[in-house]
Amino acid sequence: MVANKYVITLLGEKDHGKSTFIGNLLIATGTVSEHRIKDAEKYAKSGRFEPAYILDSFPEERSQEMTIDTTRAEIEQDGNIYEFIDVPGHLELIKNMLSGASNGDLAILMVSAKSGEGFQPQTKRHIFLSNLLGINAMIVAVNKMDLSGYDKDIFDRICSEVKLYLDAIGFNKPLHFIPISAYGNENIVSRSDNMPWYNNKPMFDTIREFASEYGHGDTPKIKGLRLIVQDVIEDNGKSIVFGQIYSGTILVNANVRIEPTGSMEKVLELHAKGKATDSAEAGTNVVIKLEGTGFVKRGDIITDGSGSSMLKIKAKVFLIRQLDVVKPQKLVFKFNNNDLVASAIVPKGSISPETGIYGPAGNILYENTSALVDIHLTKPYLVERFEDLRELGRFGIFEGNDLIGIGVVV
Amino acid sequence: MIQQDLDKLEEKSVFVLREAKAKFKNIAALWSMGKDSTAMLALARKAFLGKVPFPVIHIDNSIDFPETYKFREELAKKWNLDLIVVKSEIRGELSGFACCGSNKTDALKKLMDERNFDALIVSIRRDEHGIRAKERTFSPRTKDFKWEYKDQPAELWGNYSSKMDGTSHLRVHPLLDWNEIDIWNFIKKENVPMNPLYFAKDGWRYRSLGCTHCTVPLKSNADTIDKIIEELETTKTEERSGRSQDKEQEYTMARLRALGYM
Repeated sequence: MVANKYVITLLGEKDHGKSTFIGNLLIATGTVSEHRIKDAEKYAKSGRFEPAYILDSFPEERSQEMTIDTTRAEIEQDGNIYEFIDVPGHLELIKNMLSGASNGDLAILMVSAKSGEGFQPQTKRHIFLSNLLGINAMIVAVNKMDLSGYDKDIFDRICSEVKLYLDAIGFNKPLHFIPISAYGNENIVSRSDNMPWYNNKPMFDTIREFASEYGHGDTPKIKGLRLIVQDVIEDNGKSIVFGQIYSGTILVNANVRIEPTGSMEKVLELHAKGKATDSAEAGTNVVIKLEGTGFVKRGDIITDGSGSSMLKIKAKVFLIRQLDVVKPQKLVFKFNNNDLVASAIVPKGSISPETGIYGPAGNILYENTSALVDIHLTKPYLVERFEDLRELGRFGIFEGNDLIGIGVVV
Repeated sequence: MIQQDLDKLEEKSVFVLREAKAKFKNIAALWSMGKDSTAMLALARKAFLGKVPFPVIHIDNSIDFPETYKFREELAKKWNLDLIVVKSEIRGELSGFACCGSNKTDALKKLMDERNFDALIVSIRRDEHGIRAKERTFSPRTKDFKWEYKDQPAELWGNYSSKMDGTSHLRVHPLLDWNEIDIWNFIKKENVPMNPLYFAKDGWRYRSLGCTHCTVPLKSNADTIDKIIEELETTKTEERSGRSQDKEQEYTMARLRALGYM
């Protein structure tokens, strides 16, 4: 039997209980071995075992009691695999948060109900980012109810704050709110007696329901062929092209177009899954043989003739480092496996990730803000709107290996 | 353990292997002759039209099992592998931290200096260990081979890190998403030749293979691939429980991996 795999990312401010939640869920579901718990216990700083240590396995993460880098843990239940992506909540670790959160289909938002914690700006940024990256649904866990007297009013207040914010940024995905204590295992796998006013299912049941309804990736709206070229080898006057199909179908003997050059070629041979074949579909890695050489290279996109390359991309970006669009910088826009260079970035408007409010844009795009921009490329390239084909509609903005921001084509 | 969709796993890993090959001029793979790195080579053959297109490295501390050496020679011949065997210098202790930390890593460093590989394919999996779960698919190592795990580069979708100033090489991890049972399903489906030590003999089998000093067999009657898969579907024992304890504790693993261990 093959499992359905659901990928769920945690969101929220530091110390609001993301790692503790996953840690306790792993223990409660019998996923973690005694041996691993004992190993984690040995390093408990205060002599008290923290369930978060199961995820936070770096020495520094335990001694500082904080998550530094993203990690994953799987829970198997009823023939399904639920993969939880834990991410750091600290503002300065947002690149690590994105490395994890960019992979999830579903999100669990942790908001602490403890006095002085609550719905924080960093929590809003996490929601904004995962909304930008196309999360399908979200469960809002109001955590630390044990430290706020299991008070329904506090729960209700946080829920309405979150809803107000979600409306402001136009988040219209399926939602569920649930009061929990991650540390005390309340409303995690079973209902808590301390919150009789919450008469719905506990977390794990809710996660499973959400997963089966909303956890199945995204079907691309683009039906035409989009094949991204990874490598080309020349062989006796022919081009052997290695690549992956992001949408559509490729057929042997079909005519295909190479973007951005526009060159038309015939598919002489097609290989997929280790053997020769007549056709291959989206999600498949292929090798194709084309007549002639020199017209196709790594980073090109092979199409069925639909779609065309452009010099200007309209995008919505989120900056994790300040960007002065006038200052010359060696930025690369990393679309799938291709590095694109811009001749100009023209800001068209700003968006506050904390309020969702649009405003005018200046030449400086500030750290932890969002903006609408026109990106003028030095060479034409084929992209798609994010909502039409995710793989060709999202990008990272890098300086070397350093992430400056992320964006989607709008 | 439940099986994942093998087809999806394979496609993702083939993409990673091809990215590594296309992105770097000079790559190699580490091959311990264990199930994971052997499965990775079988997958590379599928990805590259039937041939493993890069050298494979065995860091040999001379204390591997005789069966392992025999398996190495047979498969290297059968698959026409460009095999590089590097003898590690044996100093001091022949077990645990000292052995894996300096003996093996030093030998690898020396080879990397000689051959200037930009990237090394390493067949670790996230489900093996809490520390390995924190890895990126493409993970840079510094000039002195360190894994700067407190400051890893961002990794978004199919766009992986490049070699930068200060990077000696990148570790490429094509099998991160695979679980132990998926490896065995792949071995079964593709009929991948395997080291005989994995199969039970007189009630014992090796579930995870290291060298003779640090690995012990576990009680098992699984003497076929099907029986191994069946065993894994129900087991509560951890895969690496037959490995030397001092090495497997998380802090030791963190120190070892920071120094360049796999």
